[in-house]
Amino acid sequence: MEPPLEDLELTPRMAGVLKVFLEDPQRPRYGFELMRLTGQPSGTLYPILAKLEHAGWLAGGREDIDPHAEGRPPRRFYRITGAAARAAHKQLAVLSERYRPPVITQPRLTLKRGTP
Amino acid sequence: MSGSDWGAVALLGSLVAAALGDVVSEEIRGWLDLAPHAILRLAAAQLDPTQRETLYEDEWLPELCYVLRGAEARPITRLIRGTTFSLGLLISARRIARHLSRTPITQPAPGAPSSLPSRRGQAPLPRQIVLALLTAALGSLPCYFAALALYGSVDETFVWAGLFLAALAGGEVALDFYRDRHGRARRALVILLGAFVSVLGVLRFTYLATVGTSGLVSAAAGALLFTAATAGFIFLGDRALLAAETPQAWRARRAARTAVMAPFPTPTLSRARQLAVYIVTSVGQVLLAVLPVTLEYLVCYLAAQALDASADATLMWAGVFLLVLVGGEVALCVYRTGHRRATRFLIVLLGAFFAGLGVLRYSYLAQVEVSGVVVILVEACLLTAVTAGCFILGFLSLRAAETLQVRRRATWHKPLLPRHFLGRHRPQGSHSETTQ
Repeated sequence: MEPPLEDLELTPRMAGVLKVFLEDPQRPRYGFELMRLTGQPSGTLYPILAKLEHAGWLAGGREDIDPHAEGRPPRRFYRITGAAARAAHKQLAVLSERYRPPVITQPRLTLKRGTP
Repeated sequence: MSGSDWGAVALLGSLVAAALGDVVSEEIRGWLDLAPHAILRLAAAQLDPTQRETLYEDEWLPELCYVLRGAEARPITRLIRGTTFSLGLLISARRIARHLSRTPITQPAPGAPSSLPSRRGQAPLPRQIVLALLTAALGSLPCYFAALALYGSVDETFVWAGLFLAALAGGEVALDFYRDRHGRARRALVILLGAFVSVLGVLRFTYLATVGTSGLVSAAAGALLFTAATAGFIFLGDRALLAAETPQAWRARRAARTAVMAPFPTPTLSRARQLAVYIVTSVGQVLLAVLPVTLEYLVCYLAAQALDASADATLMWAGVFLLVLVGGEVALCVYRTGHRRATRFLIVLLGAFFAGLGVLRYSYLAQVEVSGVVVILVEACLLTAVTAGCFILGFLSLRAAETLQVRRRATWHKPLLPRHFLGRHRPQGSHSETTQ
């Protein structure tokens, strides 16, 4: 059973992170990979990840590797939960609506051929 | 030597140079790799122990290892990526820790006292105080420059520099005091300190513009540089104190450690091995105590030369300085357990003494050397840092000697001393082998 989702007001940066998760909800994402995909520095990204995980939007796990063979410890990954994916879809739509530029209603001035 | 001999020597030399170059570049590469790890450890020092385990060890460190291995063949890329990654976390570590320490899902019971999360870190308090003192000592030279603008005698200049430094150090302490207590008072202090630093900058500009021959622009640039350095030292000292644990946490930690140390471990080593351990630790201890003192004497001698006395008087002054430093080490060791006020007072006094030595060294180097102000400044700062490092080493060695004393009381003096002595002076807790 998934943990209850806490209501979050998405910021544009958070939305950028969630968008990456929504591109393939089943795929685990790592911190450095998210840094590259969203263009956000670690100091911005990790607080967002901590907030999302704390609110139940993301679930964490450990990479399945042999540390001796790879020569490094296993990394921590994040995956978006099912309920969070649905909520994120809605919130991203709302956010997108909020930031959509207004339609220009004034008629444009067009020059006709032959006019001086 | 014939031409072929020279050729062979040149070939051998080039081979050795190439090998040395490889070794040196490998060494530098290894050191460069340590930088991101060191920064990340600094970031982790701002987390509490449980967060350190979950965040630093489980997440940040593996990710950094991955970042560094991902760019394995390119050392500069590796350094840039790793440092950027670690620096970002260093900046935001406290924010993450604060966020994770809150529990937004479980609301507090109505009527329960609300407690603000403390913004302080978990780093050991004594170490952070030493760091803050070091930054204050580094600020002594900019203060000296500002004091020079008052055109007093040498003594008056030193006194003014000391007063400026004391005001800055006091401001730093007050900033730390009001951090969790009174936000408005802290903000007012920040404004006051900013104004004071600006006044010092103006003084420096006046002095440099009057004395210097390079024009107003270079005087302004120099004054700005020193003002930025002063502000930077204050900021660094404040950050060092911010990363420190609270005095209550420090006292609790000390009490817990004392409680753990109280029952002495039952000696299980053979006599020969005990003797070997005792000799090795004693020799190491003596070396640790003597080496810093020797180094301290050298740097004190440099400071004493600024007094323009005869050779004998210079040696005597160096000895006096050294005595003060060693006395300070011993006094700190004596007072550090029970007398907090005395310890604080001693630390302030020693900080002022370090600053004074630094100023003396600077004035001596400025008289003797022909290099520029910046070079002399850097040299004086380095020598002051060496003095402080030696002092800390000496203090640590004395602390370790205390531990050795405890260990000796627990495990060692029993087999060496006669039984009737042991019967009268047996330490509590060590009783397993005396009854045989």
